[in-house]
Parts: sequence; C-alpha cells; structure tokens
Amino acid sequence: MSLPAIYSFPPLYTRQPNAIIRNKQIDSWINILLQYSKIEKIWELDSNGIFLPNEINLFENNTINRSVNNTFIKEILDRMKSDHQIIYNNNNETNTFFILWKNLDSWASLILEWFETTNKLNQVVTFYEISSGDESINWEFHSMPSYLISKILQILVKRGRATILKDEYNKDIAIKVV
Amino acid sequence: MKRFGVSAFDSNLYESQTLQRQTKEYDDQLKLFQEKLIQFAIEHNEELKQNIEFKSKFLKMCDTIGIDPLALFDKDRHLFNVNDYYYEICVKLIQICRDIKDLNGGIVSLEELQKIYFRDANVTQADIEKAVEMLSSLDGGFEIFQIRDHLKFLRSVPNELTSDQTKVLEVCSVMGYASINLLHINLNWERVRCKTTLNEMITNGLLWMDNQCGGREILYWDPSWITKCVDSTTT
Repeated sequence: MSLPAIYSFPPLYTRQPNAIIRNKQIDSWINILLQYSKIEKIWELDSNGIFLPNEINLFENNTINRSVNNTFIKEILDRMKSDHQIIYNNNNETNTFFILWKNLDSWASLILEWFETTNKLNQVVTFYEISSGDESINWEFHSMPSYLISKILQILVKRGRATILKDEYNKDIAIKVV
Repeated sequence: MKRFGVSAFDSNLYESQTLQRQTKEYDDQLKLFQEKLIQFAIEHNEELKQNIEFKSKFLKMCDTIGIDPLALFDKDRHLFNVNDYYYEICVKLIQICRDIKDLNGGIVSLEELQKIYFRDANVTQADIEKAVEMLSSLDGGFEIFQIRDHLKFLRSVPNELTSDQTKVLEVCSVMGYASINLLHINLNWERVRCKTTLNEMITNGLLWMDNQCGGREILYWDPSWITKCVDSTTT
C-alpha cells in the first residue's frame, strides 16, 4: 500500500522540540500505523512498535535513511495506549499489543451484525468459525486472532446478548448469541 | 488462509465484482444528480437571488447531498451574488488555515492553497487574494506576504514574521530545508544569527527539525514540502 506523503518527510523521524508540532507529529504516526494495519490486516505489534508476525517495522524508513528512536516510539505507543488504540495482549508472556483500528465496541457491534445477517443467532459458534470460517471471509474481522475475538465477545456478554462456552481446559472457545 | 476443495477457488470474486459495480452505479447516479442540481442553480439563478428563503433551502439541500457550495457559484456569470462566491472562499480559507495551523505554524503558500486545498474547486490565486482582502475587515490577522518577488504566502497567525525569518522561508522554498551552514554561506549571516532565527522558527512551529542527516548538521524543514511531494506524485 502507499503510505501518506508525510511518511517520506525526513523530520517526521526526529522527535520535534515544539510541543504543538510534536502532538501533530504523534497524530501522524498513529494515523500511519492504524491505516497500515487496517489495509494489511495486521493485528499485533510488539513493544518496539514492530508489526507481528512478519516483523514489519514502519518506524524505519530505508528509502530516506531515517528511523525513529526507541524512546520516541514508546511515547507514541503510550499515547495509543491511553487512547485505547492498542491494548495489551495478556494472553502470552511476551510483551505485545493488539492494534485496534476500530475500537472494541465497534468490533463487537460488527460481529453482532455478522451473527444477525448470517442467521447464527441461538446457535453455538466457535471462535474459529468467526475468525477463519468461510462465512466471515468478506468481513473486516476475518483473520482476527481468537484471543482478541474472545476479548471483544466479552462485550456482548456484558450487553446481555451472549454466553461463552469453555473447553475442558477452561479456555473460551465458542459463543452463543441470542 | 489455505482453503480446500471447491472453496479453494475464489468464491467471493463474483460477489465483490457485483458489489463494485453497484457502488459505481450509485456513484454515477449521485454525480448525475449533483450535475443536474448545479444546472438547476444556473437556470434559476434570478429566482434564487431574489427569494432568500428559496436560496437558503436550496443551499441546504446541496450541502446534504455533498455539493461544495463553491461549485454552485460562477463568478463570471454572477450566479447568485458575486460576493457570495468570495464569502464561501473566506469560510473555506478560515477552515483550512485552522486545520493546518498545527502542521505549519500558520504559514502557507497561495500555490499550496490553490493546488492542494482548493484542488476540486475552480479557484485562482487571485480569488484567494481577494477573499483574504475581504477577511481583513474582520481583523483576524490574515495577511499575504511575498518572498523571492513572486511567491505569495498567507499568514493566518497574528505573529508577524521578521525579515530574517522571511529569508529563511525563501531558502526553504528552494531547498525544502535550511541549516546553519546553508544560511551562513548563502546569506553571509553570522552563525549565531542563523541559529537564533532557526530556533525562533522552531518555537513558532514554522519549521520541523531533522537530526538524522548522516551525522552532519541539523536540517530545518519547511512542512510545505509534504504537500509539494503529494503534488509531484499526482501530476
């Protein structure tokens, strides 16, 4: 995909001393990360801002020989954390984040819409079907990691629209939406 | 994801094509309707001009359907009232300047305004200048200034540029950036003068700093470089 023009602007990679400009600069970075992950369907990034699993590092731009240093990357990620654009993946030991180009509530509503349009209400549907089944191929949440799906579906449970089913290891694996 | 059996064939290809075709049809219809509305505005210009209520309702409808008010005005044929056209530009100018102020410290070239921000409207640089003149009665601090004798800039923030700062912008309009050495060599300034001016401009948000230029000195970039780059890739 083509990144916005500002991605080739050399000073974007140096932390700007002027606070107002820096704010704008951080906005631009967040915008780039969200846009990219949305189009390339990337769900996860590590604590250095590197996209997983293919280790794509947008903060390094070899074309213009510039890169963002780790301290500033932390600052950008901290902003995204407080704005709920990334959330901790507390499923594993490593320190990674899920990136949310839509907020959790919107994802929940979209998945609910899928349940309604594909006539899956009142039946047990596995997380695997939601993320990888043929019936979700044209939906934005297709290929979403199942741990993130389970996090989102908790919202439907809270809204009183769903119950979660567990497997024999007490792990969430399926859901019934009413 | 790997799919097997029949599903290995791209089953949604057909669906997505249908969807695309439908979207295109809708777009075409909408465009046609928009054109008709503009045509209507031209034909019934006199009535629109005289009946204020009719005019405001008509404009509201155009707005809902996504027609830029600027597309409705034809300054040569005095559609509606000729000043309405410039009022619309004024409103747009204020909006644009507010949106991009944090990016460029409130200084933007007329060329950039016309080519990037008024891209879809049929507006000339002279129109923009006239609109800025009209804005001056509001005392909003909008002012046009000139560098290198032909490049015109609009300043939308109240702090006046010093002549040194203007000179730096001149250098930036050629190179995209300035630096202490560059100013020292080209303008024959003392280093301390170069440094002070550049730092002032950083403080005012007019320039962005770049300290990764291969270990050499710090470069100070003019953010208008960003839209220039868009311009050169699209034209």
